[in-house]
Amino acid sequence: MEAKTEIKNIAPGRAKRKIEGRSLWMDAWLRLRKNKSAMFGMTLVIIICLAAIFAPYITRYDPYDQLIWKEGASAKLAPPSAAHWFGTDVYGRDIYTRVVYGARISLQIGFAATGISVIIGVILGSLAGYYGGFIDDIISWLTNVIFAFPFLLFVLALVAYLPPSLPLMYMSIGIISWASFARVARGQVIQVKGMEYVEAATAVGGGDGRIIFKHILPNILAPIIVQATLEVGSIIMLESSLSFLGFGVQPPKPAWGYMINEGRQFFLSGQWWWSVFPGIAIMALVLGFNLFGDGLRDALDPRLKQ
Amino acid sequence: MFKKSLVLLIVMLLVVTTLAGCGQKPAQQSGSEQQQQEQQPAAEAPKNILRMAIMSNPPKLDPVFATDTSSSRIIYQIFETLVDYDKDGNVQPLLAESWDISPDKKTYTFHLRKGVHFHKTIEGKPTANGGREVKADDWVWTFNYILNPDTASPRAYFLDMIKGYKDYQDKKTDHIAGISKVDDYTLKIEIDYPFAPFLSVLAYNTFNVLPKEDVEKYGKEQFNFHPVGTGPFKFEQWVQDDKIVLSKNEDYWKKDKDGNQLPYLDGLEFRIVTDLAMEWTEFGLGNFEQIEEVDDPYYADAKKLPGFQEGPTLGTYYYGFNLTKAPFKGNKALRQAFNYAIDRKGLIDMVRNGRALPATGVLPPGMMGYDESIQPQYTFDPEKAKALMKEAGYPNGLKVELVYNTSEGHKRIAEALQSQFKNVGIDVSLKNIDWGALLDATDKLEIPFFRMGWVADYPDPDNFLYVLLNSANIGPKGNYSGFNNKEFDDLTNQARVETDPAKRAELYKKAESIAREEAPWLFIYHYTTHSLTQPYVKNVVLPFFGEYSMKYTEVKMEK
Repeated sequence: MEAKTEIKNIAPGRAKRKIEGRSLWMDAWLRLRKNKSAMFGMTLVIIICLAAIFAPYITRYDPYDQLIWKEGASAKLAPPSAAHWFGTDVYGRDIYTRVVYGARISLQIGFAATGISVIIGVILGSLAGYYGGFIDDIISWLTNVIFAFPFLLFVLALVAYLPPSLPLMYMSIGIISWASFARVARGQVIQVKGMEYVEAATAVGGGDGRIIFKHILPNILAPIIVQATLEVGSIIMLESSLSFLGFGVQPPKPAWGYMINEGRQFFLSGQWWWSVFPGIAIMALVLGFNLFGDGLRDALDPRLKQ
Repeated sequence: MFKKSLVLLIVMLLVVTTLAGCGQKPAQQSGSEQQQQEQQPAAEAPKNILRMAIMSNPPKLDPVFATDTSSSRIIYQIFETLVDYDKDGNVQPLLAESWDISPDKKTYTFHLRKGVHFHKTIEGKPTANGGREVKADDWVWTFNYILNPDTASPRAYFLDMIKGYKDYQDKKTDHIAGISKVDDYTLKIEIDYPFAPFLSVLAYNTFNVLPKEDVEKYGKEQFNFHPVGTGPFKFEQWVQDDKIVLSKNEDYWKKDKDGNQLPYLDGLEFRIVTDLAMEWTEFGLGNFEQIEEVDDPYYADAKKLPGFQEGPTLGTYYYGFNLTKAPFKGNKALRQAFNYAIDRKGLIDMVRNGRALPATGVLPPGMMGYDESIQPQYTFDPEKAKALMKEAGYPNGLKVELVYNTSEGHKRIAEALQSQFKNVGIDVSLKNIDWGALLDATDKLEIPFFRMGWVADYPDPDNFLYVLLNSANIGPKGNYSGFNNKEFDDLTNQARVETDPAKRAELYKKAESIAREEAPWLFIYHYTTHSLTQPYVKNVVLPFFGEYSMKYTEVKMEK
């Protein structure tokens, strides 16, 4: 009985505190909602995400189905029409369908690679910022090396030995783009480390792990979320360039960059739709993430605005 | 005082560098013009250089070691053979003015042209031979060099019918018995048995006369980078993966009908442009006089241009199965399944704009031994392919990697076939590598499934069936599939020594039938050839063997 009442007593208190805590995020959300371009970016991202998830329900064709073998020459490089909204490619594959399925690839790589780089970057950055000294020197040096690293060469070297595949793509992008997260995390940790509540936690005997994970990380989350949102955009861009060069996702998978490269051959002879629509898709998605990320930064860190 | 002058100096430096920067800009805009000026520092504007875009860096410029068309293209300009072809594929004199063939067809006597000189200079420096005249001794030396087992020319075996070839190869003698000098301008070649396409073989681009002094000076490794021959153009520069520059040979032996010195052109510049869209765009801008390949997207537009020529050629485009490696080793049903799985006609019409002929065998149409009725005929039959897959032990399909050399055209074909294979349960993944790397790997039989193509070196089925599939030629000699069939070997060997054309044709038909049945390749299509030049380029003749063997001796530009 006693225990129950105790819980009851504490529970409202916790809830109260939670509401107070949430209100900071709520504040941010209110600020974000006022930011029109950020909302536009968010809408773009959400629409594309939904399209990727529900791809089979919003397309009429199979992304790998080469219609020329069934329908003949009329299906080859057909211009945009009611049957094929974005036209068809030289094999009679529906470009609208391929663009929609292509979003799956781009988003998968975008999120997975960002996830990997956030994990690596935040862990290394926090260690560097928290312990300082020798550890900081080594990690900062490593960050600088990664920043200066020629990414394309790295991937080229990788695909020379390993067959290009989705996991290889996001692993390789992930382990090479964590540097910006490490920098952000390190700077934030150094700042937060000096705060009274961390000192307090140290004073009551909290271990390093507990302090980092319970007291520091939750307080540096906002800038990392912002950084991650912006990073997704640039990683999608990177994936597209790799596919364009032929080192990324391999045919017949409908990667946007690869479609642009294939379609480019026909661009000059007037069949612009093969490369233009995937190009617009890349632009929309990257723009969406960038606008959203910018808006998030303004919303989560009101000081920057002033 | 010092401070002031220092400031003045800095200001002057800034001004000078800024001005220099401005001055450079207009020059950089016309990139091609600038390059021309770089090559020819002479005062006169070098407008008479034919610029051509080629698709890949040629693997070899030394004719003794070249085996592919991108190398031959350059070699044809620098080197010369005893005989070559007219535009209908008939043998015509080149460095041999005429020849006599003995009644038993085993002795050939060549009367050499007088006044043929080796290049006096290359790369602006005198050559070791000093520009001396070519005599019978040079031919004797050259053949002894090419056929020497230590030289290890991959094409020496083309001449294995020459008397004493075997003894020379086995190092029993220090020279080949069948080749001798009669006098300075007469060369005698004896062969073991009457070999019908012998003259054609001599026209092959390995058997060029070479200057002993320069070959010895540079050695086997370096002659490739400093080739010296007798041809209408001299070697000037080879920037790897960028360009090859040749200049006019002023001492060339040939004059035109009116007695004007040939060649008309001052030089040739081959630029390596791997991207076919780029080739087409640059051609449109007038930055090239000729481009190697009109890619399918631009075919319809190119066809309307006055400088476009097209014709059939003796060649076959195929995907090779490696018969020494899994999964194709010892699995005929599987190889046949591949052959039934693809719609050749559809592929050619849809993806290649109808610019080829469907292939269901090795020999191209127009070749002796080609017969439409030879069985089996690989039609498009997915059901049969599926049945054969079951028979082959792959009822649930199979995964295999196709290796092809980098080119949009090859990729397009591969992607179309990929989807057709999928229909019968074959999951083909694609991997592209550089042409040189692909040749290296296929020479060593390292790749299970690879893209390859073959165009005739001489217009005889021997060049296809014997060279590409006889077990004596496994590896770099041409049998990249490692095909080894006793009956086939016997037939093709027999056909080599047979003199009766009708009997030869019969033997080749039988051999062809075995090749089709055993399916060491996925037969895809037979080539056509085309050339695209600017309208002001005159005397362009589309050669019988394909555009790559074009000679520029009489080509001129009239702007």
